[in-house]
Parts: sequence; structure tokens; C-alpha cells
Amino acid sequence: MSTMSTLDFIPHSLKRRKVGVEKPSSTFEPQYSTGSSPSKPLIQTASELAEVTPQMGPPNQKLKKEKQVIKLSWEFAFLVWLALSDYWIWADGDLRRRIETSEGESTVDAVDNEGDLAEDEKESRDKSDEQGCTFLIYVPPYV
Amino acid sequence: MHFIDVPLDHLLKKSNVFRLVSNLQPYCAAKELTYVNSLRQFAKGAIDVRFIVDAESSSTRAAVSSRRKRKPQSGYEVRRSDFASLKDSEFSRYSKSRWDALTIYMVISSPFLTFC
Repeated sequence: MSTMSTLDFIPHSLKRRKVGVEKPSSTFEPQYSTGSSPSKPLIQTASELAEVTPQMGPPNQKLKKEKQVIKLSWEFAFLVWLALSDYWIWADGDLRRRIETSEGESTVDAVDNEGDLAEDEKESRDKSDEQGCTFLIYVPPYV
Repeated sequence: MHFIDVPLDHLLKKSNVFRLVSNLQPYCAAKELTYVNSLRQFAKGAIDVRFIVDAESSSTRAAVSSRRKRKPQSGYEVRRSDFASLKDSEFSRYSKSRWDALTIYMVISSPFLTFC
């Protein structure tokens, strides 16, 4: 027997077995004494098996995909608005000092204690984060 | 002023606001484009969104590798539409009590919130 004939034979036989679902031989066929046997098997072809297989996977797989779909709402824009205002105040040192300095204090003192002020602000922000809240300055919206 | 246009990516990563809600649904799963779409739909007249394309990103691979590593400059940038009017507005003369009156607080205490 040559090698070529063997290679030709193997894929041919594998394809035939995958696509067509052959009836099991009579030696493996269960013998029913009554007529209560099912009229046809639940899965007849490979295509039906492919349709059934995803349903037999983990039940949460489909739910996880649905969770990734985020409903667009105004809250996302509002958060960006707040973050932009917060960034603006952080970037503008003069404005930040004016906000944090009370009316009676002079600006010079605030500039001298800039390092301490930054540390105090960081501590207060850390504390507020632990408590679940933070302060933000809200710049009046565009009208 | 150098902070008129703010990279949205910088806000999402560094801002206290987003750090606070980073563990909450649906914000933890929201991408940058989600915020862009929301801004364009709900804050059309208030915040301008533009996409910046880095000109040097189209250069050759050899030039990129020889160049010093740096952060990519492309991405979305946001800025208030009324920035020109705000620059000379009376905000700079607000007192602390006035600013305190304008301060809002975010409290994460709703039982309906779900964590990631």
C-alpha cells in the first residue's frame, strides 16, 4: 500500500464521519421492549449541535455581554463638567488661593504657606475620600 | 492660559471626580468615547470637544524608535465654550464666602449604586 493512497483515504473518511451522523450499529442500539422509544434523536446533525452548544455554556456569559452596553446619559457629561471646573481651579494658582483664603487673611500669607496649604488640602481630600465625599467648586454653568 | 484645552484622558485618569466614581457602575466600564458622545449629545453648547491627531505619529518606525519616549499627543480635548467670557468675568473677584456658597458636595451613599 503506497503512502499517497493512505493520505487520500484519511481526510475522506474523517469528513464523512463528521458531517453525516451515522446510525449506530445494531450492536450498540438499545433494545426497547415497548414502543416508548423516541421517534428521533435530539441532535441529528452537526449543525444542530452547533446551535445547541452555546446554550449549554455558562449561564452568565450572555449577561456579562449585556452589562458592557452602557446607556448614554447626561451624567457622563456632568462629571466631565465637574472635573473640568476642578481642574481649572487646580491649574489657576491665584484663583485657588483666593478660594481657600478667607476674606480677612492676606494673599501674602497664603503664598508663604503654599507648601503647608497643599499638604492640608491633600490630607483633607484623603479624609473626604475615605468618608465617601469630596468637595468641588462649581463654576456657574453657561447660560 | 495654558489650561484652556484639557485632554479628556488626563481628566479621566487624574481628576478627583473620576477617581471617586471609578468603582461604581457604569462609570468603571465607561470608555473615553462614552464621555465624548455624552458631551456631544447633552453638553453641546457648554463644552467643546475636539479630536487632536498627533502629526508625528505618522512618521516612520525608525524615527519613532530613535526619538525619546514621550506620551502620545493625540486624543480628545475638552474646553468650556464660554471660556472667553469667563476669563474677564467677576469670578476672579469672588470672595471665599461666595465660593463656599457655590461649593457642591458629592456623597456616595445611595443604596442603588452598584460597585464594580
